[in-house]
Amino acid sequence: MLPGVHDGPLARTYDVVIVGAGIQGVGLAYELAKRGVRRIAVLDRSWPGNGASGRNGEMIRSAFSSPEWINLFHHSLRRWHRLSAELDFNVLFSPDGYVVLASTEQQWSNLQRDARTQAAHGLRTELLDAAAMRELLPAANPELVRGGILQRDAGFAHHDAVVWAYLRAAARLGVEVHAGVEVTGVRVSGGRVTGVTTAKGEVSAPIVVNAAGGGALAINAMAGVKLPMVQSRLELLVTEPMRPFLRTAVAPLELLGYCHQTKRGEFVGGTELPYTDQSASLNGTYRLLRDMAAKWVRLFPVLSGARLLRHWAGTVTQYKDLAPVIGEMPGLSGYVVTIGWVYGFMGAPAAAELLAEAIVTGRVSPVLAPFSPQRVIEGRVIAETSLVVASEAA
Amino acid sequence: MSRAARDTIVCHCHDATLADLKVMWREGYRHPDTVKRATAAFMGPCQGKYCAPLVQEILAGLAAESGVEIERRRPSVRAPLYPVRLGELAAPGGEGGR
Repeated sequence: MLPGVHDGPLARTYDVVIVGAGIQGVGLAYELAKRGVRRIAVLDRSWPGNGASGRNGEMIRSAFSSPEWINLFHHSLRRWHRLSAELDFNVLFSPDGYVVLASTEQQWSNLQRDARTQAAHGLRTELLDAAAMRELLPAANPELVRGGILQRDAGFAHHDAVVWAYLRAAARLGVEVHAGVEVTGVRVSGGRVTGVTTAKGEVSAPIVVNAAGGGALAINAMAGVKLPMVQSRLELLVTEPMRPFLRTAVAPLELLGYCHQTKRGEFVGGTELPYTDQSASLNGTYRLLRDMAAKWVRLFPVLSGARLLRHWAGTVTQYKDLAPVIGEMPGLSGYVVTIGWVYGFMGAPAAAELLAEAIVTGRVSPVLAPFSPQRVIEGRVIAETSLVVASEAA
Repeated sequence: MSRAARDTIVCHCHDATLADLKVMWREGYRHPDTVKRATAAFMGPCQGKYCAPLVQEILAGLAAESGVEIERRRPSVRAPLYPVRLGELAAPGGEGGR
């Protein structure tokens, strides 16, 4: 099915069972194995990367507005620069720059404030005024370019390759990644998790990690965990390969969009409508396809003649602040979550490493701590204002 | 890998060859959807119309050779069936498509 997928039978006992073989699940498995955890199983109902890990916009930055997001994602960005070498597999990371684009005076003023926060946290981001940004993005409609933040060492990577890289590296360290194994129950006894039930039998484990992406709430429900989160659908399109016209990744705040041009020349872009599309469906919608086409042609008129190749959807689980929820669940010993990811592709290398560290040592890094499940239980939010995904909290 | 395999193009959009498919099969990409992502077959402007039957036939042959069971189908179909220009979607019936 995929190199690194285990073809033997499921054992009856593991030290850690991870539900979901997306980038979070296989990344965490790799980091745990690197730290000496021996018997690790990653279970996926489909094949690794078939969920949001293979459907996202594959963009990477740490230029956010809040200290919490900046710290986590900057840790991740530093890992991205070393990832291909460490995993011995080319994840096609392109540090060609990431632009957060302001189209209005208000957005421009917010980004100027964000740039100061970023500088205070050691990020080397640059504020580009309208003239400089138009020079950087010559294909962009100047009416939509008021200015923006450029993070030169950020960019994008190839989402499938990243999952494959972690999968192969984890398998080399003895991790068993089982494809086509659906988890149907989470076993709990006396406030502790004891394992999972699968379509292929019961499995015991003292630690069960929910890394199930869009399917995370169903796994939580099996464990008797209820958090105020929803499953929502995001959509993306890709065009035929075009002559290079866009070097950096761009997130235009005005369009609630995110896009980049791949090295093969395809333009990949997604947009959001200003509400959360609560759905478990993997079908794209004509409504959003029209929205994407209209917005991207408006920003980059050259796209008017580009043929649409594919349009698809993926789902995520999200809390109202769109920040991930990472850590052991209070009141349920051994049940760990790494869920609520909307910017999960770019955040995975850091989250996998820091969560593995927390599981092995019992000490939660201050970088990870703000994202604890406790904040969701208490209804607290992390105020991050530079996102391009709709949220009722924003 | 034989010269014939290296020179036989299976996916004309992305120049994926018979050898590419065989190499990826050997590495372990053995599902219609993972072969698609590993070789880029099915992912060109023809929307897989030219390569799909060839890829399916080749995969069936490789599976029989290796004595393994695989899913015999096309990868998940993505809209649209025919590549439309973004300008036509942005403003249907307008000038945008040209």
